[in-house]
Amino acid sequence: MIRGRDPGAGAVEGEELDRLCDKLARFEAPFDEITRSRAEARLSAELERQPGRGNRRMLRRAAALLVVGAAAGAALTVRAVVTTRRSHVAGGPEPAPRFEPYVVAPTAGGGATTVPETLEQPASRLDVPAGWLLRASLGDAIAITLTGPAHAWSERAAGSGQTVVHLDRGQLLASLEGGTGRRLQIVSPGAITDVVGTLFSVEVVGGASRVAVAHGRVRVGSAPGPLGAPPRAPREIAAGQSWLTTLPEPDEIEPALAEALFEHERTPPPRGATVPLSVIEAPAGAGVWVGKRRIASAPAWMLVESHVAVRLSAPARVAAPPADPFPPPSTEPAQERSRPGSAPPARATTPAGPRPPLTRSGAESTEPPAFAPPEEMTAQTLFREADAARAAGDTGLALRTLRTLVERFPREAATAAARYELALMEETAGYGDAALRDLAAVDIPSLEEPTDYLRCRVLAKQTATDAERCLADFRRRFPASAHDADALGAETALAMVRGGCPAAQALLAELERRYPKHGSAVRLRAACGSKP
Amino acid sequence: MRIRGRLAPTRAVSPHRGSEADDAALIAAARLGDGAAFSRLFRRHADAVRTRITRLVGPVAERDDLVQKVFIALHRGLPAYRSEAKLSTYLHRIAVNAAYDHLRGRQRAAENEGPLDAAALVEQLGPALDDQVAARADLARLLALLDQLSPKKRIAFVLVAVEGCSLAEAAELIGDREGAVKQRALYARRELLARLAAEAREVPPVEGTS
Repeated sequence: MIRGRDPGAGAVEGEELDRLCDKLARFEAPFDEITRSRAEARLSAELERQPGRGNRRMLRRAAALLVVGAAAGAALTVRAVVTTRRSHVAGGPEPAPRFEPYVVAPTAGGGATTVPETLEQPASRLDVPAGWLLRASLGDAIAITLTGPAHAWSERAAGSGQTVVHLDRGQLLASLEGGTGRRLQIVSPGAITDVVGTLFSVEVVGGASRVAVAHGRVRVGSAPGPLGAPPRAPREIAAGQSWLTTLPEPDEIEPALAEALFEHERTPPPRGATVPLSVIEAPAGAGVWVGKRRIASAPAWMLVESHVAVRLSAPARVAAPPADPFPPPSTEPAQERSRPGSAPPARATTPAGPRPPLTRSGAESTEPPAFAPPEEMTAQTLFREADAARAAGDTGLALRTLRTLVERFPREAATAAARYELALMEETAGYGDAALRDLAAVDIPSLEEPTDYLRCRVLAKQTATDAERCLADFRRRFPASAHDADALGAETALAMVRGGCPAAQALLAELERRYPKHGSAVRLRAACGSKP
Repeated sequence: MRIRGRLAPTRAVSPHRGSEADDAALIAAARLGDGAAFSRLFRRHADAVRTRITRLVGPVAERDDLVQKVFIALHRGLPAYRSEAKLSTYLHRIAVNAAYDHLRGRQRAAENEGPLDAAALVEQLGPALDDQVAARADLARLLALLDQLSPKKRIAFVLVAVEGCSLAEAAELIGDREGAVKQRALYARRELLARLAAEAREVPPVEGTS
């Protein structure tokens, strides 16, 4: 304890502070088994993206040489640049963050089929020609879509570290994952848009800007525009609103723009190891799918995660996404798995020359590919792959990967977690027997409680009496479980099904006493009237 | 004015399960590019790092990101890591720095977004049982108080007064002089006591010292 003269406070406050500190000191926050596996998977993916130490050394040397060369050139031009372009950010810019393109595709009616190479490279300035759409990430939390003709550039504000994107022309859709300290500022003619976690667009319209918001809220202040408009008070634009900065009041967002924003949101940047793929020779308009997500239309160039299955759909069927997580044999024209581990993960290594097509029109296979992970993949790698497949919405691939894991590595530590995850997905998909088989094989103490609870949930869909017994047993074994309220609610409901309100009376009373605000308590009380 | 070690050693973050010799072997393997060895290092230390970060910054959504940052920094720092320092100390020094950066960012964000809702944060921990409700309320109350401290004072206070680190240990983790850490922890305590007293009198708390 730190003790001293406590001005304005007595012994009571001192004891109270010590008591509160004691609570925090007792607060443990270890990972649970599942979260730890996921965190480990994310870490491995992140480390794979980092250049090796040898490479880093080479990169540093190359960067040093580049800096020396660039410095000479920059010295000749910096004076002109400084006089023509001053940052809006106090303190001047820090090194600019780079846009990392992950989808480049022609817009509808664009007709172009050769991807401009400048759009494939990470850069802090983007010049998207007319007829092209580009999606790019900017740091960990920002994704943008630029529809050409558009010109944007980025910088990092000195001091605050805030990312600032300047939009000189065109339309920019942007999403920012919220989080402490995550902020974004868009500077466009006549508007400075400040954002903290939202989905929105900024479009340059003549010498003004139109700001529209699909999710969240942005704050639009005035920026120097070419028309020299007088400064105005900042305005907040809420979800569903669209505001042209020369008009007095905001309007409703246009449906087409809202749809474009949601499409942007449905196409997040790939995370983890990525490989470049092109679908230039696929039939124009063919959809490119990763799991349930339609990420682009052919022709396009994109980065995809190295382990995901990429599928093309015929142009006529682009509106029909695969709905079943365990789909029957597909009638779509072709499907190809990106090559796990075969391509370098670095985004900058765009293949030179004409890229091989992902598929050709009228390709032969109508069957989804059998999943055969390379033999050298470890249990952890497989778990990571399954996790990413599930995150991408491809439950089928996730299930097959986990099944491969438990078959290849029956005694690994990750296998028990994999069996639990398998059972979770099987339960959701209605494969109760398979889920029970997998749960029976989970054999690590840290998963005992969630496993038992999941078993009861599976049984609740099969045999009410077994489920009731299972829930009662679960609550006896784990009285402090975080699932206790749900378990008690389910047990009460099952008792009510078995014998009506009289049979559930005692359980309902306990539910109301311990968890009066729990949904089951309210619902079951309503079903039984004021007195059970 | 004196400082007394209040906490039993068991209350501090227990660094990991396993010996330092195991760590040394794993570090040597990880330096040679053995990913499995680095994964084992993660499994051995991740819980302790997560607990320490949670106590320093609260159960915020970003804490798992911070844990990841710590281990990425460890991975980057492996070539420079010297085995005479304990790995857990090295790792927790990175964690304290990551927590400090996070708190600085939050402090800047709070100027625009307002203070953190500590009660909502604690609620995210999941449903509380009857006997946990009071503890959760206490936790939320202390987090709300700590949120009003500057990041440096908060870290010094949590390390010394909550986790029971000695001044030397806390100074090593923070990377500063013992005297500075002691002063920050004392000022932090004074501010917290003043705020508690103000709460009791139901008047707005006064600004803290320094």
